[in-house]
Amino acid sequence: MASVGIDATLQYSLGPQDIGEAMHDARGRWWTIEHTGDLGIEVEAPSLPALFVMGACGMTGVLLGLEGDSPEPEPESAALSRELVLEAPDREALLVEWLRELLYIHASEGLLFTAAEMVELTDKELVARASFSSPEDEVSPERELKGVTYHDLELSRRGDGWFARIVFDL
Amino acid sequence: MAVEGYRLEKIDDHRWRIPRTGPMLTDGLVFADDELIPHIESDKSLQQVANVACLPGIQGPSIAMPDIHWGYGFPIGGVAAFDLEEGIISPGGVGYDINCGVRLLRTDLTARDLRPQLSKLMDRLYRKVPSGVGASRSDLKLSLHEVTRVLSNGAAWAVENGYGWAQDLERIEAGGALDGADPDQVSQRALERGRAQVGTLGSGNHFIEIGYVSEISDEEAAAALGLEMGTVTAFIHSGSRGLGYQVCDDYLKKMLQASEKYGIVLQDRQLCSAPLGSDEAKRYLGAMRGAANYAFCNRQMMAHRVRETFAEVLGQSAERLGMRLVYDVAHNIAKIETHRVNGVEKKVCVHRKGATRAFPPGHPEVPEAYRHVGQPIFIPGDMGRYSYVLVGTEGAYNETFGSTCHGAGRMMSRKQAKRTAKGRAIVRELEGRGILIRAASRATVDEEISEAYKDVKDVVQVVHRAGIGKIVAQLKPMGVLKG
Repeated sequence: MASVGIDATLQYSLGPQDIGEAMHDARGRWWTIEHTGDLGIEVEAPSLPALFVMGACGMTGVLLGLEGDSPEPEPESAALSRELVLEAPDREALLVEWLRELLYIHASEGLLFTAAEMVELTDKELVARASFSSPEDEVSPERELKGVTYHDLELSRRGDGWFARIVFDL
Repeated sequence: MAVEGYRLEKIDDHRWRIPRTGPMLTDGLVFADDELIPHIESDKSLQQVANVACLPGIQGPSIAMPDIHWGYGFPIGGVAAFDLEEGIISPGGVGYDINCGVRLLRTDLTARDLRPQLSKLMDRLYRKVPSGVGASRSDLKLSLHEVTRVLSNGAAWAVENGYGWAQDLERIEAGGALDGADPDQVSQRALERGRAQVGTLGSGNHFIEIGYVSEISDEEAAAALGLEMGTVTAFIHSGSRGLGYQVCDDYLKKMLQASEKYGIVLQDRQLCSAPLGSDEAKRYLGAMRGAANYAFCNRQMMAHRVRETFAEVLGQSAERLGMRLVYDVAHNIAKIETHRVNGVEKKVCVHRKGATRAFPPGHPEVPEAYRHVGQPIFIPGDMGRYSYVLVGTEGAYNETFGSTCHGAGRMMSRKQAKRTAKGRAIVRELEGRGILIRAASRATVDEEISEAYKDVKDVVQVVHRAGIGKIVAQLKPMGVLKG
């Protein structure tokens, strides 16, 4: 009987070095990661609230077909804003909940997240004023995301800042 | 924490075992040959097979089909059955696109008859079936009450409203409506998302493919299914659209809480689940069945549009063109079914995520017209090569809870596929090979290039040789409508 070992320490084959010369600005950055069936992003930011905002920017970027960015959130271009109050059992689940809520708003109303002000962010609760561009704006999504998963989810401190990994179902 | 230190052992030419280790409650069983195994090992899908083997009440092995690839939580191409008392149900074991599945129509036309009209047919289909990102209908927006009727009645709702033929229902898994759907368990958000999307294709890997029978391997079964050499066919691959995604989303959150409440240890939070006897499980089952019925209705309505389009373009009625439904089968679903476990017949909850039901000849759930040959199974390949029609077997019933593979299985991430397609005109390349593409987005076409997938022939040959499916016919594409 032949026996083959499995490498349980598979690494993502793309990292930040592959997305060019994106500068690490004060707000953070995001980039897509390889996944055979679906699609994920990794996010870096100097603070936890900035990480949540940058994760949402990353999801908008994925919907628009981008592969990575260190964007300036653009509240002034927003067509409308909305206060969101969310709860989850812990910090990781709260990040997923936040992205799910924004994805629902996108799917049901065609609105795309552009920026947010985090009014309150604890391990279990989030209050944010999120801004959106309207469907009439000259941006059209390139892909549909079915959901934000808990798979391979990570939210941790990294160096002086914060890091997250989120996998979407395409 | 994921299972660590697992190994893969070859059992025979088409089977591999991941022996039970650490928190695993059972072995993993992988169907693959020496050529497919390196692809399968190149991502995290085997890790996911091992993780599923840790879930309480699992019956038999945690099974992986040869088209397995890395999903989220459960692998795509995974089958797992659970005891009704000690086992669990997991929305992650069904997926976001509840009852994503495939239906096949056949016609009396030959490829030669259709070729001169093909371009016109594809243009009309593109106009008639809403496709692409967030596709919704401007011509049909159901009331919330009507959506709940769709959730209860499935494909029958479409037939009652003039979309299709009464005899279609006999040729759909579960008659086009799963019993036990409970619209009260479906959130307002999900219902809202379902209002304007019934009869829409969506994006990603969903498609309508017009093709023809290019090879017959089993004359008797092909004849029973109405397939002859050259017969023109139409595949429809889609699911429950935003309504299904929302049901999954809503219940993942509830199941995360349920997992903690019932002390279920998770190797991956996406495997969150609830004991099958719990209130949470009953609610999810009721909602999931409703979403599955929405998907049956969705494919029924698109089939009606396909018939209408053929009739318009060819100037003959769909009846005259012999456009019978061959079958419609799910490949993302959880069902309570009776199977033999350790020699004893018992009811289990079978999760098929990227796996197709494959019931054998003689099974009462196989339509009478096919009972002597087995349940039809459709395994779409990529848009540039071919697809396969199979039938279910006793082997599948005995070894895989009546399940087999569902597709070619991705080999490249979408990012890799886009890089491979860069600088090429994929639509023109395919046109040069006689395959017309109509797509809402170029990005989707690039991400879905042939090279991104395994050769589906390699996949179906494994299930055929392993005895968990029997090849009946090969179909080649002539025109593909992509989201």
